[in-house]
Amino acid sequence: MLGELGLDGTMRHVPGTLVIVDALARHGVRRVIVPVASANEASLVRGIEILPAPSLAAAHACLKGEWCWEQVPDSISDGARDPFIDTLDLGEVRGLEMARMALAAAAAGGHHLLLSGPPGAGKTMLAKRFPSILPSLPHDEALEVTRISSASGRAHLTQLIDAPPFRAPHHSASAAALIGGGSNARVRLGEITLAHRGTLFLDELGEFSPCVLDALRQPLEDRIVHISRAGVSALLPADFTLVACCNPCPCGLAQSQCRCNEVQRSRYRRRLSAPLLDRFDLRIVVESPGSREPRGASSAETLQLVAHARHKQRDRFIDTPLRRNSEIPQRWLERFAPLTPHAAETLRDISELRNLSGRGIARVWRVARTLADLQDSELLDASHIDCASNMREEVI
Amino acid sequence: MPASDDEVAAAVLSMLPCANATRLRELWVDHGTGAAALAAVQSGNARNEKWFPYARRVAWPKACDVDVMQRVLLHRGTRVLLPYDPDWPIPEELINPPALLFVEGSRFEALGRPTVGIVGTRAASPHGLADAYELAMLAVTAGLPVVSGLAIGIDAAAHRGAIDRDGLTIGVVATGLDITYPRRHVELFARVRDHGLIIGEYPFGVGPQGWRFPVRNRIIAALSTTCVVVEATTSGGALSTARHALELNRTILAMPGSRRNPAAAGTNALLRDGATMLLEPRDLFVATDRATAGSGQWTEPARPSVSHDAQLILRSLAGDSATLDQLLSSSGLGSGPASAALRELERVGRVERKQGKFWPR
Repeated sequence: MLGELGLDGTMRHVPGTLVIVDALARHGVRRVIVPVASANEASLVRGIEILPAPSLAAAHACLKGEWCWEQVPDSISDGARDPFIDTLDLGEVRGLEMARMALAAAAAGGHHLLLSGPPGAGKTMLAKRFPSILPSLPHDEALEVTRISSASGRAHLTQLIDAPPFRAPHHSASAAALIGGGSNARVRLGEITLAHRGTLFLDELGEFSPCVLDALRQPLEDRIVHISRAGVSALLPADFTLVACCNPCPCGLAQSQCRCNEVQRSRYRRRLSAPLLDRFDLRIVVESPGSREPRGASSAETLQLVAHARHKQRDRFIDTPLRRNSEIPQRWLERFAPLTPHAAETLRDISELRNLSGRGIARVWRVARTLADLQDSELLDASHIDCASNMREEVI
Repeated sequence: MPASDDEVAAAVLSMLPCANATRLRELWVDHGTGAAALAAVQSGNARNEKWFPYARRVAWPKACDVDVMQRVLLHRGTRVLLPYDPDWPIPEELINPPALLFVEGSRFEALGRPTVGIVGTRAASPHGLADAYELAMLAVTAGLPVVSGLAIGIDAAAHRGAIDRDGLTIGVVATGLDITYPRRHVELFARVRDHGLIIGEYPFGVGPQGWRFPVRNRIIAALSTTCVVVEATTSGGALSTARHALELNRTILAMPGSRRNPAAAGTNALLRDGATMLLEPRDLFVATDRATAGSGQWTEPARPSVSHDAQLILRSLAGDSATLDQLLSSSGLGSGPASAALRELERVGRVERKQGKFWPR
């Protein structure tokens, strides 16, 4: 039996109902009494019988058989999406072929993406359209997302959240807000946990405080975050795709039109540490396209490609804990993403030309696999390697 | 070689808080030598009242000590040049000339020869950097030391060009000689010391301050027989160097550039105002009366034959920089073939990538 007891004996909703009921189900509990207000949320868990009761007295009566349990309101449906996101379409963006391709690769393979360019080039415009090309989550992932949402206690849940979350914190966010924090007995979820299985969008990356950004490095690598406070410690999931935008320098105009002096520029460069930049598999420089450029593929078309690429990855990683190309460990690349001889030669050539480290090569390799998946190609060819290497620019 | 009493006295006087070029020169004129000037200040006989407090020993800052200065100059190998020295390199005509120059380095023969000043903007394009580098190489090959300001951009490229051709080069700084600014040029400073001289008018301990850089430019202009501006913005320090050079009646050469390149706006304006056009190395040698010595040519970029796609990319670049996105739409190539073509061009050195943009060479 679960719920908050009112002074008059009514049972009220408690935040985190879904998490608790899910845990009970895993521990073999077969029936649970919950407040009526929580019934919808609790019923999202499969394999456990939900008995809604308005008050303690009613529950007692029901147990004695003098009354009958309330009905679970039936409102579970799939595919309901945030109406705001649906209004933004990738088809509205002109040109920017490489950036679009990178966006699709980030959506399909879970690669972190950094867009850099002068103001007005279309970085944020592209990034805001990222959710529109993300496929709905499969049931197990949707349940994870819904559980996190329930634990954060934001709202009454009435249905499974199957749209991947999209979190866009402002650049004044503190490290605790982004990573998670809390005190004494209560852990507060950070943006990275709320973005689990979805996207964390950081606009104006250069304006975030450097220590906040460096705090991101560990969760980006491990995909979980360990919060430790004096009174409590918790291991939270943080498997998200990072999409970020930044200007090439403080004034944003870049290169020859730039009005920044060297001191400002080097200070800006120091804010974005090299280890952080290295974690972006995709780094793209965006310049304002002409207004005569043709409009590109719409969100629906891209979504189809992405969904297909995701499908291919699911087949590839069956029987492994991996889900996306971006997660392939370096030593398994040969196994999951074999190269054609020509591609192997190209990769060697590029690593020599650009002085790539072992890790840099692996990153190009993973992105190339995703590009091949997007083109529905089993073979990982030289053109994919070439393309992937051009998506890792020195952006600042 | 220990520094003479004159040099030490002048260096100590320049470190006093009230010292500036005008007042120091006034002292030299009134008292004849640095040592005599120091004695006059210490005894309260200087003409300008600003020096009066230093008649009392307690008013002297701790760092202004003759013995300490003697040791520092010896240890660093610094020479102090004064206007009445026979090898004073600054011409009479310079308005507001420095009162003394600190000189460090291993190649003192670089002073007193015809030189080429190569200056330009810090925010240079790769083309400008390559031009400055090559021009410096050609200048030292013709026996002309290269003078510049050790700043980022064109300055550094010019120094590097001279050094890489084993030529002489002079760096004029706007700080004390014990300060390295910008910090990232630590290595360049050391190499310039090995291949020439570092010169400055400010005493030890003076850090980088914005107003000192344009003031320093008059020394660059005075030390260069010919002044070349490679790339300059309309508001940059390179134009102030050119203005000083003009006042000194020096030949000013400028390289033209596209109106779309903000780093060429300053040089284009100079050309309109009557600067000599520098299109080929011969222009420089004619200007410096080295027409016979120099027969240098621009190093033509190697033109190995490239694939059809690569030619298409080069045509789309049309001599300007572009992002990959822009290239895809202007060349009509797919991302795969375009990437392969760019890699081919990069490998043969026809294209350079910088911050996600591609520059033809």
